[in-house]
Amino acid sequence: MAERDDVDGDSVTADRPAVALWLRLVPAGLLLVGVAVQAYRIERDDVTSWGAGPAFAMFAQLDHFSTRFVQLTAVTADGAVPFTPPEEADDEVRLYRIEPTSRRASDLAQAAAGDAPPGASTIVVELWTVGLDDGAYLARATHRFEVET
Amino acid sequence: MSEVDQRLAPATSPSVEQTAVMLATAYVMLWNTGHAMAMLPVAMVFIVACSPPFTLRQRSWFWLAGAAVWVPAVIIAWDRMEDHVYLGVYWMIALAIGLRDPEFWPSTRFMARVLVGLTFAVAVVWKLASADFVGGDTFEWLLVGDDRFHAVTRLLAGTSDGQLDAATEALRTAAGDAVGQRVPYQLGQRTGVVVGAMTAWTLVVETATAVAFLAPDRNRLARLRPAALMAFGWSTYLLVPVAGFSILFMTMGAVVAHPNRRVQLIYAASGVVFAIAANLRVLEIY
Repeated sequence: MAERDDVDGDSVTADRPAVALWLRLVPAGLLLVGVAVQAYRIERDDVTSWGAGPAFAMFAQLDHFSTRFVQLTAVTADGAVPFTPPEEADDEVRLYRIEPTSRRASDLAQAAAGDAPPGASTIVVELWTVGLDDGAYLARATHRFEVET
Repeated sequence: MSEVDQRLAPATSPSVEQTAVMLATAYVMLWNTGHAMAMLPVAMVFIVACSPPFTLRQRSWFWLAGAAVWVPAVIIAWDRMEDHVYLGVYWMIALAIGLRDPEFWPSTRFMARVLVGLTFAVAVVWKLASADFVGGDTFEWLLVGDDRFHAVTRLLAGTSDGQLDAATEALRTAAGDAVGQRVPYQLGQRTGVVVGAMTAWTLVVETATAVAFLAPDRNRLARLRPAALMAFGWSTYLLVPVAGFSILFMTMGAVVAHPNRRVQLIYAASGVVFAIAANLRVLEIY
């Protein structure tokens, strides 16, 4: 069986059948499936549209991972007391900024509970995003979950 | 030669062109380990195995295995992965498929141009669907919120250092002590024009790239491919050096340009410049 080279000598082996069109479309298909799955998550869970995941929405939206920040408030008998999440909860904070769901909020509240003021019965987990407001920056709360401790 | 001998026989010698494409891809995946440090040893072994004098890079299964190793990382640690990591994996799969074809270049060219075209088409759809982007808010925020844009903020928008410092502080305050309150800021007089131009340019150049790459080879629009992708690359990756995208796009562009050596060399030179820019950025020199 004779070997067959193309003009550049980059053919692989002889007499192998050409790759079918459907196989050549596999990489493009994977790209579109990834985009569709991520678009669904963005729509359903308000997942950040860029900075994480395969949405290919680079720079499309102002509300994304970098403009989002988290605020924690402990509800005690004396009232609401804001507190800063500990460094050990950095991962949970990051994940909540990326995917602000009740599950992520619960994970964050549990990770931060040790640093909450004494007597906290509930931790309020809020996600804020900084946007523009006619020549000014303005942060707005977009998600809020109350997690019992 | 028996059938078994043929299967075990080394592939025909790859051209310098093919070797360059494969090494560039392995280098991109090495960069992508910045999003998943656990992948660093794998990517280092991969790039060594991909290099001459080894011939593994000519094997379809080698690229398929390389992509397969990344799949758990991009699924499990999706929150740490940016788009270009996924594109790198899709491209490795494309190389694996291309190597299965007796004619490597036509097959791989097709997959490269469809991947580039779809990536830009999806990016344009997201941007057109975003009121923030079309209205200019995204770039206006980036001029202050992303320090990679500060040169534009100063030089093109005419913002003084004092104004930029004050705006940066205003942004920090809005996300800190003054949550829920308006915190005014002021940028240079040409900010509106610059934001409008950046928004329009991005939409035009990304649309042109998508259309040119998705157009069939015989369509006149296909001639725009190098100009569109290069215009996008040079206007984006010196400002925002993202090695995972820039080197990959230049590599895929060079594959689509096959067998035009002159255009391929321009893509290669551009890729080298973008790689240098990305390295300097990491070293905080640039």
